[in-house]
Amino acid sequence: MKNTKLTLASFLVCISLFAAALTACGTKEDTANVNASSTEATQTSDTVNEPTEATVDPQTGTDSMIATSGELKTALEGKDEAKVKELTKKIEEEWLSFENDVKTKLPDQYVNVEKYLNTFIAGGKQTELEFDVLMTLNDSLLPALQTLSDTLKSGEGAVNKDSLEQSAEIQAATKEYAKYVQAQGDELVTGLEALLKEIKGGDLKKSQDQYVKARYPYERIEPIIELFAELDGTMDARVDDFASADDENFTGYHRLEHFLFVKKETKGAVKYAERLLEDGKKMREEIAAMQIDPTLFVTGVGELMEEAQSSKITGEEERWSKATLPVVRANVEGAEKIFELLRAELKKKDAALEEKIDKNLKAVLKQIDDYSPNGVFTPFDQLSQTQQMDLKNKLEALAVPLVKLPGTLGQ
Amino acid sequence: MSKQLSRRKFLGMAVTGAAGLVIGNMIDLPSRVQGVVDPTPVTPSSPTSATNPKTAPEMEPFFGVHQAGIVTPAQQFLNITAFDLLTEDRNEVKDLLKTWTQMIARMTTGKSPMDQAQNAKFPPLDTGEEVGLSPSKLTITIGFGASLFDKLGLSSKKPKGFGQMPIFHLDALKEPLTHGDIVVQACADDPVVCFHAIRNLSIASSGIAHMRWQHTGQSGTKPEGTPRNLFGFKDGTNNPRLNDDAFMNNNVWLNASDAPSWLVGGSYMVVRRIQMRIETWDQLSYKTQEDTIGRQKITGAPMDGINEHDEPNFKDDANGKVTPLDSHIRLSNPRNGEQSERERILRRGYNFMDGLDEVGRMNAGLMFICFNRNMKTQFESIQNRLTNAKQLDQLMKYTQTVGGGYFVVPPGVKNANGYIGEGLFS
Repeated sequence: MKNTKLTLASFLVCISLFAAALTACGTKEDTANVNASSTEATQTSDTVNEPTEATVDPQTGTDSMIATSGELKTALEGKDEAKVKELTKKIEEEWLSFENDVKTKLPDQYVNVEKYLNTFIAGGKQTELEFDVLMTLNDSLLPALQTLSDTLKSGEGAVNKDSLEQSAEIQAATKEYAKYVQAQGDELVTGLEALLKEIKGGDLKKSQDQYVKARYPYERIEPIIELFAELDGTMDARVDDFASADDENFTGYHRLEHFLFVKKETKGAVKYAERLLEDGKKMREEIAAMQIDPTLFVTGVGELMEEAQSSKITGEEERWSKATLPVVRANVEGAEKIFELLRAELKKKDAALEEKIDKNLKAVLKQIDDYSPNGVFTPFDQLSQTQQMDLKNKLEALAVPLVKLPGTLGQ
Repeated sequence: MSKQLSRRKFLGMAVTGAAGLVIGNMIDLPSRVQGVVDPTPVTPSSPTSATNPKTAPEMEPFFGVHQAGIVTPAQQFLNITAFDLLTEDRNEVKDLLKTWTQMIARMTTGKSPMDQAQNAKFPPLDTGEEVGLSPSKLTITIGFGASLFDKLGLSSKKPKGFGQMPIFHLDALKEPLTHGDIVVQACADDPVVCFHAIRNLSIASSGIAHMRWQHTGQSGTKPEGTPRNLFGFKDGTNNPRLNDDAFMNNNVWLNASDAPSWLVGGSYMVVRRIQMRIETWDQLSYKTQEDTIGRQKITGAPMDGINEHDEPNFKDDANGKVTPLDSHIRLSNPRNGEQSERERILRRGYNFMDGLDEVGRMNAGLMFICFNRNMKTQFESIQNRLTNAKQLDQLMKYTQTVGGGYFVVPPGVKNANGYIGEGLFS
């Protein structure tokens, strides 16, 4: 509440923004710290410019504001100038004592209250009071406060990490997910052992096939893996980071990919396959030792979809192996796992969303499978541009509802 | 009078008007060696025939100690093009720069060679699409890539330590979009004026240089306050004031201790084409977007502030509870007092919105352009912090740099006798 010259237009913009933002809220505390007033507006009142720490519980604060608003109504009807001024000051102080809390938890409601309150406070400080204008404003303010109070009571709409942490069902799902991640870690090591064996054996075709298989577990739990930046860097770096593909520091999956699919040789790849297995074992230890908290687990869906939609969908990630389809599938499978574990909870909160995710998830998987007849994936560069675009569209259609899962569960 | 001539006459009349064209059909001009040079050099004070009082404030001065287009308030449109030399002959390059200088001096005043007599048997002296348009605050800024010095055998003139733009972690540079011998940055309030400038400079360079890459950019046409990038956040909040001479001398302009004397008053320019992953960004929660940037989306204020220009207090937030440690704002300027002040650069970026990519995603992002006095201690120092794998700038997950380059920008041209890059050949 900094400025008093607020145009309705700017509010409408804010409101529509927040309406949009709220459906896709994050899962941590304090969302948009919105200050509805634009910096261009001029300061005309002598309001306090410092953000005040919330000292009052928002519920209590809102209810006492409702009471003050009622008193104001009486004072305005009686045209009691001194009383109106006194109560204006009072309602302003009440709001200041907890507004920050509302701002972070319920940005749209915050804007809704400020819309009337700011103008009211400015009006209530004029030397000449315009009782009828103040009356109208107060009459609009009351329902806004009422709505806020109701929302606070029901606890809806607020982004609340605590509710994620405190839900027994989600705690249980998180434990399940930790098991899944560990199983993928084991599979990762097994896959890399098999890959080393094939490469040492010198059969190029088998090595190539095993390279692709060894990608799956890694890609299914990418959000977890990325937490170990250094290992991720040695295991999954792309050639773009180096001056050339022959750079000694270029290690990991994609170095092997280069050997197997570009140079078409296994001999030079042996030492890199050994190194990758070593790193894979370290990675397994790291993920076995870590604590996965519910937020990390739930928000993983967004990260996995991001993976699939950014560098993979253009084919650049698997540029030599052309194995984009199975690798994208692994990302989607990782997201599917998280969704499966949370479905029942999501259904309670938003059945329509659950249904939409389910439908679009099936569509993506079917699309990938259609492009992989008899379980053999079509090399990505052999898909037509229309098919590539179609896959991207289906991934997007899944991502858009899926990223709403964390915010919905956090309510 | 042939039919063709009368038709030209008719066309001439059709576009007569503001610029008052004279089509001299029967006049044979002397040789056109210099391409499309206006034979009369423009001096800073010479009034131009196309000038009227209304358009006067639409002009940015060309002559000066520094090149225009650096501390010039950002115009609305950008066309930035890199050229590669086709020749190793210094004299040819020298002549090209002289020609370009004259053309730029003329174009920035909005004067067109179309209002002089022309030879009907040759292509027009100018392509003409800007006739009738205002100069639109056109500025042209020229820089040289490290490869130019090598090609011309002028390594002795090259500033120490100046080389090609390195590959930073997570870059995905495409060779055809990267580096170049010469860069030409055209900025104006009219995209056609930018295009026209580059197009005619390119015609003049025929046989001496060719275009290597070209990008266009734009900012909102009437932004209130700091313009926003396509992530929807204000971009440039922390830029210095353009009239802050002390900052420019400390952080932007080269002095005798930085570079060879011929570059004093110049600067180093970084160009990066940063693709934004628009679709995945738009799937992020409001909170994650703000945490990624480290500012509030609507106001542009830091996470712990109220107004855009409030200074964040990182010292009391050592664990990144308020502003995450891996947020863009925190890594790009950690606000470590003196050290961070020395690192600061002058940014002058534009948005690009170029249709869809091969899989149907929006091909959009930021044409990042910045000027600084020392690549190592300023731009690279910041960029290495942003791309450090141990604590990656979260913004890197939604961006990918595909092109650009490093260029050294020579000082400005003081009067009509000089030309851009003169010191290179003396």
